[in-house]
Amino acid sequence: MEQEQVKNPYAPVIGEAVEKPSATVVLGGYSVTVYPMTVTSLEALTKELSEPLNVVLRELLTSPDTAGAISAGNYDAAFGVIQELFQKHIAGALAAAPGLLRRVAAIVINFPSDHPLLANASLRELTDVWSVLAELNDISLIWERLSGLVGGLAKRLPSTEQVSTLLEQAQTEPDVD
Amino acid sequence: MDRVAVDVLGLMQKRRKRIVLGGEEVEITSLGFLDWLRFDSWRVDLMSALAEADVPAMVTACREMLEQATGVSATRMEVGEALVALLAVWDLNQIQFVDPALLAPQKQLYKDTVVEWKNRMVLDFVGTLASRFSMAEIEDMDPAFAILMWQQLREEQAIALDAVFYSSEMGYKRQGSGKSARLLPRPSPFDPFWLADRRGRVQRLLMRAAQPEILSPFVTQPTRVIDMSTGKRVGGGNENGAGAG
Repeated sequence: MEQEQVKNPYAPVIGEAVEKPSATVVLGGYSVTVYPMTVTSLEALTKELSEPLNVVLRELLTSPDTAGAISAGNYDAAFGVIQELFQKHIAGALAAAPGLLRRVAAIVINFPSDHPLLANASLRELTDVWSVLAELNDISLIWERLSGLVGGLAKRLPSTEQVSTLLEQAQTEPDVD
Repeated sequence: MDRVAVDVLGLMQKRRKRIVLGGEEVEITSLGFLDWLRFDSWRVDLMSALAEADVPAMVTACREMLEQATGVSATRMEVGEALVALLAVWDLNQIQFVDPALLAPQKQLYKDTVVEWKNRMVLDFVGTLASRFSMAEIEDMDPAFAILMWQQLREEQAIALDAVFYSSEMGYKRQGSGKSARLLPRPSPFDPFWLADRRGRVQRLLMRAAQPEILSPFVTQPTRVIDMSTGKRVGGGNENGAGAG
């Protein structure tokens, strides 16, 4: 069976050597190299931040601004709303709970959360890890890919327009049943 | 019964895609039937998690889907790569016979019965296919081809009316005419209640028709003969040469 191939403009280029990006952060007076986040780390991170993340997603799903922007293909506008929601809920939750910030930092640098480096890290150092995470993982590229994914999947589900068209056809065509 | 034109030979061939995961190029192929059933189960989990705004459950479903479909460990997949890979494996394993209603967000009823439904569907599919294919063949079979074979075997078992391919194009029936016309969704063969009800009813009818009128241990020849290909009565035992044992 032939599948409709939808070209993804954000697909990685195949056949070229990829240099893995990295960044250095300072924790407890020691420098630590941080690499882009893996799916395993993302899973652990979403479990730590499940409460504020669920609030963000619920607001996104119910926000007419975001739903309208996404359905119109205006992903930049939707991204703006998401950034605001992240700032409001996730950055707020991290600022209010240093323990949570430490656990998040542990996931990002792939260390156990009771590691001495993390125990000795200052609040400022821990906050810097969060900033590096956003920079290192190229959040805007991830957003582009995520919006490409959402747009791609949306095309594969039956839309309200398709159902409306069928309804209109039903009103003009003779009965078959 | 309406038919969907299917390129059977095309269905036998595995589809392939090349993606990048963990900084390396990986070739992935479409899943075999049993793996596809598991994959589809995670796809439903993903949609349920989205409807419930449960971010960790969504990420877990995506991680499990990707690991199964690509064979690459999630510890090696970078997030940016995984997003591209997700669309690729979704495309690769998407088949047109999946009931779009499964992806609808209002799934309270479906959610309550999902385990029972999944078990029944898997048993029905595998049990039916096992009458013609080996387990190794079923394991590796393209899901669309497996569904086609399932339909044909069901037809051979004279319950063809149950096996209707469901697609968004033929998934509606018209009721009424003119401006009062309405489009109602057709019952899907994937709906557990419809499937169980219809199959049970047809089987009961066939069995009742095949029962001898006099239930006696001394009856040695059938009083009626049913053509299993049409489900119709074709005459008495004597006319067809069915004799006493």
